[in-house]
Amino acid sequence: MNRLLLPIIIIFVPFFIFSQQKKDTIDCNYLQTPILEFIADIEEQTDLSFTYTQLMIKDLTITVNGDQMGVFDVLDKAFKYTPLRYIYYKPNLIFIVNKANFIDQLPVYTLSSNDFESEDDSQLSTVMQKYIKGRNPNIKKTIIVGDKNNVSNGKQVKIIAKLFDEETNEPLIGATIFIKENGIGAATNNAGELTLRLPQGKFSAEIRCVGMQDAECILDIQSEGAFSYVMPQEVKSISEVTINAQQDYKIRGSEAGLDKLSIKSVKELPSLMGEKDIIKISQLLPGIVSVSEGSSGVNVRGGNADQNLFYINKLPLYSSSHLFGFFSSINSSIIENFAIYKGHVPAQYGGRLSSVFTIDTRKGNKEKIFAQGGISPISANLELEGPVIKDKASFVVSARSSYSDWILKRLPNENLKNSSVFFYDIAASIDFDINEKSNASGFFYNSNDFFNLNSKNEYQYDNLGGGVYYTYRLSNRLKSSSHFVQSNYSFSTVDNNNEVEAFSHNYSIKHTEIKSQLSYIFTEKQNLNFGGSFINYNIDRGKIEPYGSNSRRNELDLGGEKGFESALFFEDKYELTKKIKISAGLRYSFFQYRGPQDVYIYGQELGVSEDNIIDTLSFKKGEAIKNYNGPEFRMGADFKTGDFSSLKFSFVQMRQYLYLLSNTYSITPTDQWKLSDYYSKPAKSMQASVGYYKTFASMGMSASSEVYYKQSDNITEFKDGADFLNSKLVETQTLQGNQDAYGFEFMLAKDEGRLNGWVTYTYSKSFVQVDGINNDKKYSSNFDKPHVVNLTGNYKFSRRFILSANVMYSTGRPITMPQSIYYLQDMPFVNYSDRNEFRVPDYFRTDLSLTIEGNLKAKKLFHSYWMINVYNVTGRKNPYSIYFQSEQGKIKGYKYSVIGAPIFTISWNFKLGNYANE
Amino acid sequence: MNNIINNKMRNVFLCFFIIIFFNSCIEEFFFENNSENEIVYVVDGQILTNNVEQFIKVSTAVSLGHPIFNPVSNCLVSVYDENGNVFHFEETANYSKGVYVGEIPIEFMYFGNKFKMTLETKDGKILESDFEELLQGVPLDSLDYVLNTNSNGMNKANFYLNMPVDDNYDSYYRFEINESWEYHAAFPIIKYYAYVDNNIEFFDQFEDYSKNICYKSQDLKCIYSASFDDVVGAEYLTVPLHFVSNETQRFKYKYSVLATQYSLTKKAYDFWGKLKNTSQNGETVFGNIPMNADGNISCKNNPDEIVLGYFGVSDYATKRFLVDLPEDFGFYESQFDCSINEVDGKVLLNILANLEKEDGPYYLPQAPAYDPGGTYIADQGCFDCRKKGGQTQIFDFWKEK
Repeated sequence: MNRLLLPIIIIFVPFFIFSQQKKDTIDCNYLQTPILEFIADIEEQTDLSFTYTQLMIKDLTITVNGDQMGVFDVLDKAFKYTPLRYIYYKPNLIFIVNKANFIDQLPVYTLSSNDFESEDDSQLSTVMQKYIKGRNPNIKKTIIVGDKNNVSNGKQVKIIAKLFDEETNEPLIGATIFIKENGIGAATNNAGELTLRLPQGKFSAEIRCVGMQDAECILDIQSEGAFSYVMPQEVKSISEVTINAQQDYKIRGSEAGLDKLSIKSVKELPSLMGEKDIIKISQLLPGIVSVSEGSSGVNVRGGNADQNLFYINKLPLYSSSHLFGFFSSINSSIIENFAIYKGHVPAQYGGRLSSVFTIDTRKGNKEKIFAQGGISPISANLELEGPVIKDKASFVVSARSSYSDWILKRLPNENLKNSSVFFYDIAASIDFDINEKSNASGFFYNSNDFFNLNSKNEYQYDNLGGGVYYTYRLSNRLKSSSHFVQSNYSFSTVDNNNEVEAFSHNYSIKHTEIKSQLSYIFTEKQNLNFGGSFINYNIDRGKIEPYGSNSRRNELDLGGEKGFESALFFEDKYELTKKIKISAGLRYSFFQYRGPQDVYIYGQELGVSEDNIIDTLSFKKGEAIKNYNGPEFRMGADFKTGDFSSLKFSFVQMRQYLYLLSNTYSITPTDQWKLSDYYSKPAKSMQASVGYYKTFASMGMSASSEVYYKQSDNITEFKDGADFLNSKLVETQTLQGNQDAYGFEFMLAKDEGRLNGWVTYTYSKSFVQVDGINNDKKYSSNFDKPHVVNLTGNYKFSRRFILSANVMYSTGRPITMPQSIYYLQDMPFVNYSDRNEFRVPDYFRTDLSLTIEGNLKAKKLFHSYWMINVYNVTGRKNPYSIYFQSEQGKIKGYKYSVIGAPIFTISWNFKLGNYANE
Repeated sequence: MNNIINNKMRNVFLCFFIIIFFNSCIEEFFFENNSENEIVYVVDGQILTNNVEQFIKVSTAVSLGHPIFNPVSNCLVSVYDENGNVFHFEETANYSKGVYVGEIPIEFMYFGNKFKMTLETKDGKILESDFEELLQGVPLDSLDYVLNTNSNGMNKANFYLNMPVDDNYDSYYRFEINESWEYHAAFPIIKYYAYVDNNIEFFDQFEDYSKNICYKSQDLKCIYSASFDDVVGAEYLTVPLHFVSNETQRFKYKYSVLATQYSLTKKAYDFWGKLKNTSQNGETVFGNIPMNADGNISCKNNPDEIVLGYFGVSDYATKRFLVDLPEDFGFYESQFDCSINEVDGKVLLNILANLEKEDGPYYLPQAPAYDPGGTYIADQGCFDCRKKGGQTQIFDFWKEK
């Protein structure tokens, strides 16, 4: 015990002393408070002294709310929506002035109107830099755009802005610029660019981005032009954004059903075994569920798990999990951007019915070396990044590996002692700015899992892939980007439970994709995006081979499949009025199922079964067996209903040319991907959604709600008793039908203050109807959970101590239950209900975590933090499944809980290098 | 210092993994379906080549809370062959309710002949099966076992049934297994309480071994099926059966297996395979989705109505195997449930107070030498082996040997 007390005392006592000495924060609770009263209160709590005129502040009120806020945070917020502003003069003077009359223009400099040059201080003299920097805290920057010799004479001109992260030099996606005077705004695209249309003149611009410091500046528009703006990262703990569904972006963008997570949201939230997992965290967002904890894959808006496309740097992942689904196979530490398109899906994406998860990894710092890593009870990870050529090229390398095999050998349980578990993932990238107009990059990724249970079952699965990427700016208006990626997913299994029937099986799917697209700024109100893609699929379903000398298992070659999918896409985003934006896109996709292949023809009377083959069609290598093609319309509209609210509509059509062969509730790493073929048609879906978004700026809160309806056709379901390892003829084991889903999603988020987080509620239904299954009656999808409530919160005791919690509730998932018992040959058997007619008991779980940051000195080279996690605090035994089996002639029921007790873990993470990358 | 850190880390990791793996849990689950179930008819019919007298059982499915065979009487049951010959089945007094008996003369039971069943219930439902073909079975050849020791040190003998692979025979089979064995009670009968007239009296005698050796036989309630389709490169079809462990006495004195084989059509084989998968497989982390096994019987009045069960026609073969026992199977004697327990005298009085005449004597073990005056009791099967379900008369097949 004494050993424990000492570090606790060492950690806590200095912090406590430190906390008591600090007096630069105050508690605020001002609601429509007269400004005079507010000033008096601030003067009483701080050393500040205010100077103002009574006339100026007469009848004005202040609304600002928050605990332990920085004084200047309070003042920023207090004056934000008033006609006043404040000026601070050291050491303690505050002047209150009128915004409109105050001249704050600093010595200015002119940017080239044709190039996207950053606002580089190095262009100024040292004296000027010092002059500007010395006043930065108090005075807005002025950015002159255009050429004063080419004044536009009152006409509106197009302004292109490009926003960067100051630390990483990465373009900022989803950052916004809002022009106060005319109430217009825009959000940056994936390249960090946005376009505004403004007349000549000076405008106050608010610049915002998740995780970055808010900024205000004066835009001095002289003519058409462009400018770059570098945003410093937000380092003030009090207002640190830990999760953001990017409400500003939602309000001002035109894409419904788009969710984004920042890596910070993952950092502090509780997790299983201390493994930061952004995909698991995404399940706390509305509309995203999984069958159960520990299950692989996610279900988005009533779609099957195989209807989601996971891209990491445009590289498709056919399995996104480690350890059968307990952890995701993506090391969260290297993620830069994480977006989920579950409503409006841009035309450039296709191939899955429900959603597209896009994950972009960091491109690496081009100026200095940086390392970070961590160790959790199950794995250790290390990332290294830095310049290859300073300011030109950078690299990132990350590796994560488990050491659980080492642990298993030390367990007393013989089954586990004789088992082995191991996983790892590696990612590496290089990014090269060839010149101002072109950029090239490369990416490599490998994840691998191995599990051997007492030599009875063996699983190994592996993702291996890489890609090269090239972007080129042909002009100010036209930009091209192309990439080539290849992804290979393979698995091998051994089933040695019964040595007479023991077998091994290998499987692989190779995905080769080339894609090119152009972004064209047609007018300041209209952006076009068009291009094409080509994917080649090569699947080897593998062989079932006898395993061991005693096996009498018949060898079975499940065969191979080839096909290619190509698509042309076009999307037009148009700003109809200041309040209405629309986007319209069309994607036309083609799919060809190709030889070599033997296709069996079945007699009509007895249907598709192995006993009813009447003919065989043989196709040679490369010969087209079946062609499918069709259009996919994508439409979105954004109606701005107020300064902080908007209404969005979305309509999307999607097509999917491959699916998973699965006959379990949750997908497994050994489920086989299968192409649409001679018999199975490609799945199609149509989704319509409407959303309303509102930000309560004064409270630092935002709310969103969406309703959707989705209809899918040609969904493949397995027949009762299907065994995909006993027959190569998949068409005899599957049927196709329809899937309908609808739902309502609500999210309320608080981004600021000591207590932040979000709460979501989702009501949704998802049904499947397939002729030939469940007596042709529709039934609930395996993951249909009508009511889902998630609560996520962080409470910051200080910059160094953060308490986080997740609370999750959902309706129990559907299950096929016994209805009655009957006897055959004097043995009892269970008569089961209709498929998924009943539900397991409801799911409830609470997780807690405490993050203890090390010393946060800005210039310290080495930073670290500890994270203490308690997973499933209440120890509730949430049922994963209920099953029944016959034992000695009696039917017994069992409830299986994956994790039925609290799990306490500690993990440690470090950063080497003074670089705030999160 | 490094060693200290390593040891600490190792302990932390060890604790963690013990926690995570032992947190996964399986609990017994009690589910009561309170919904009003419709009547679901169950037909269990199997026409066999070994007998002229054939049986078809008709019942209904029952609620989970009352798992009993629920017969359906007063049905009109007939079997047709593909040539239009009709064989009527009726309930008789010789068999319990719901069992319909009919005769199909041996001349109709030739391989290739097809049969179907029709059944009309008292409430007018007409149930009809598809035609089933009688297919020839393979002779049962031999039975062997392979000895294994599992990770807990338990010895197991895994049994396999061997049949010659021959293209002349049908490909699909189901098997029933009946096992028989000799076992011994742990203690001779020395002292006991028994009723004399209406009084309980104490008896003390010389060692009595008359109820010490028993023979027991039981059907294994499992589905065993096999197909030639799964066999490659072998002269024999090897069918994995049950196992016997050293935690019972089965392999200690005598052991025998009676294997019964039924030839099946592919559809019947699939039916029994689905029943096996649904009823005998446990849960995996991925969650197998259960399903009903579709039989070959439908309701002609209402095609949407579910009828459970199967009407099959099988070539019947049976063979008894007397098993040669291994010399050293490493029996766990302590596992045979015969320990003696010291009790308070009041406990014994309470037992005797509740002893019924038909229960027979209540036997007591010899007190240990270190406590000759103590009161000790033991399971009654440790004195009278019949209390564990066997009989003292040896089975004929062992007599013949």
